[in-house]
Amino acid sequence: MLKVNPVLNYPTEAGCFLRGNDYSPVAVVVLLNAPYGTLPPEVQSIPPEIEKLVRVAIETGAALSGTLQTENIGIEKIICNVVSNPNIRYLVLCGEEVSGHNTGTALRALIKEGIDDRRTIVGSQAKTPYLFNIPLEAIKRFREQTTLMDLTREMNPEIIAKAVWSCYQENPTPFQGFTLCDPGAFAETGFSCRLTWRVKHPEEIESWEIDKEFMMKIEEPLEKIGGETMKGNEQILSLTKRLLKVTEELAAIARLCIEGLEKPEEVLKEKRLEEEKPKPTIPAKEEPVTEEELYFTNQLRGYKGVLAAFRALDRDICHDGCSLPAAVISAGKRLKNLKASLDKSSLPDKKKEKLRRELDEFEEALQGLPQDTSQPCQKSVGNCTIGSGCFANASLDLLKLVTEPALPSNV
Amino acid sequence: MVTYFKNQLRGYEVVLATLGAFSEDICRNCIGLSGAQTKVIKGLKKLRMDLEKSSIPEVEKERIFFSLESFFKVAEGLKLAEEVSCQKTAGRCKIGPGCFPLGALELMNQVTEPTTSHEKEMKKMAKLICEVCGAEEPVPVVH
Repeated sequence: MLKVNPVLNYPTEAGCFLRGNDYSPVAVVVLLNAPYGTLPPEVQSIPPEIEKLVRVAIETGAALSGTLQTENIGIEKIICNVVSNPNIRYLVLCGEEVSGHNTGTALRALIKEGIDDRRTIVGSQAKTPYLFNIPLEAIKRFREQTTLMDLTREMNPEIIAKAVWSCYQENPTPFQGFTLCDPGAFAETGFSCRLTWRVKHPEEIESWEIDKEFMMKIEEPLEKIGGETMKGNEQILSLTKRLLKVTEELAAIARLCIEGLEKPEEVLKEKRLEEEKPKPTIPAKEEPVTEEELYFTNQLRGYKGVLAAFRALDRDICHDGCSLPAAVISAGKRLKNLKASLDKSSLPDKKKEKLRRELDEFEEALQGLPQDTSQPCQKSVGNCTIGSGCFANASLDLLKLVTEPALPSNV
Repeated sequence: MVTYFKNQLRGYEVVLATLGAFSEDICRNCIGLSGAQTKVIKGLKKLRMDLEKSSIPEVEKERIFFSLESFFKVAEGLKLAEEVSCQKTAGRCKIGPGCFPLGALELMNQVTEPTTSHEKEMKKMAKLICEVCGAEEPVPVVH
């Protein structure tokens, strides 16, 4: 059976994965489920059951095994690493679907349908299934080189181990409807590529933004990286432009050096002190120490947003409607309730006083907003035409975003 | 069609006000607020593009453009730290899985009508056809 060496810089992309036997025909992708938008790109901690799946796969003999969260950059990294090792012929996809991202559907759709001319995965249910940062050849190669074994929702390490084991058998081995064996390395040599990072945040791209101009921006540099040859004057012009840029930058550095040498030491010292001054970020606040204090602090954070929304609505047609007053009254009642809870709490008096002051401020602000619910509904009178939704009610619902900590039992 | 733009602007006004309030809080250091800001700016850009293409009277257009520009300024001026990161991961935001900036952004979902400016155009055309033939059905009508 033919086995080959992966490319020299294999695996070409860093990520949350383990490297096993380079000659193994299988890579394992464990979906890392986290609500959309709650985890940063660099996941700090992995749930133990996910880590177990990743480890089991490597221990059983997979070439690579790691987690996948995003339907764009995450998949692109997988493609880069898989195509750089022609021995990898199977991709085992397991774990619970990533809510919000729907990354599993994106990977399945990619292998089945590929991408369209806007580098969007065809038939994916993911929010932003865009592959902007890798060469088209890599995507084509990935689809040709690998067979997907879809074990989505499978969290049993034994089954994953069996899947991996089945992939590297010399004789055809049945496994969950598949007939598996190691077919040997892909017919072509490893394809070395890395992410271009032309689009660093594909999750921020809206589908309407992907027009011809956008695509040209992505494609042009990629082709140039691939070594497009320039001819005659074109090459000289390009080199001259680059030389000019370098000269300008060197001149700027030289100017800075001269400036520094000419200035007296005191001026420089002042400047340094100025630079060392901490830049204002957020107003320094004491961090809540106890769960009880945190409960009240979090509630107050929610009220800040609600109040700002109410004020904005008061400047609009909602001022003459009945929903805003109703929402204001409801917020007021909740605030009163919160005050009563604060009084019952076991927080130190000083803390209580501080929180009460803030609550009073909110209460006062609410009193300045409309409270007359006898006004007509602005939908009924034909002024509000936004549909069935209601800004005032939705603004009040911002408070529902605060779910932790629970109301302390003593209050 | 004017209603479409006006309703969108109504939504952005309340979203921006709410984001502004959250930017005074720990959200100022948060990637969530930064993402919401980007979304709002992009949404406003799209609205501007649609407005440019629309056939609404010039006076109305000017008025909406003016509001849009002021919203752009507010969105771009939202207070954000130079370096942002998820405040839940940093251990400062402990409200649960919810996210205030994303929640504020979702206020835009309250605006569901008129669906799209394009659809509205179609409806308007259909109505015109009806008026010509005297039919009183609302929309869309195919004769």
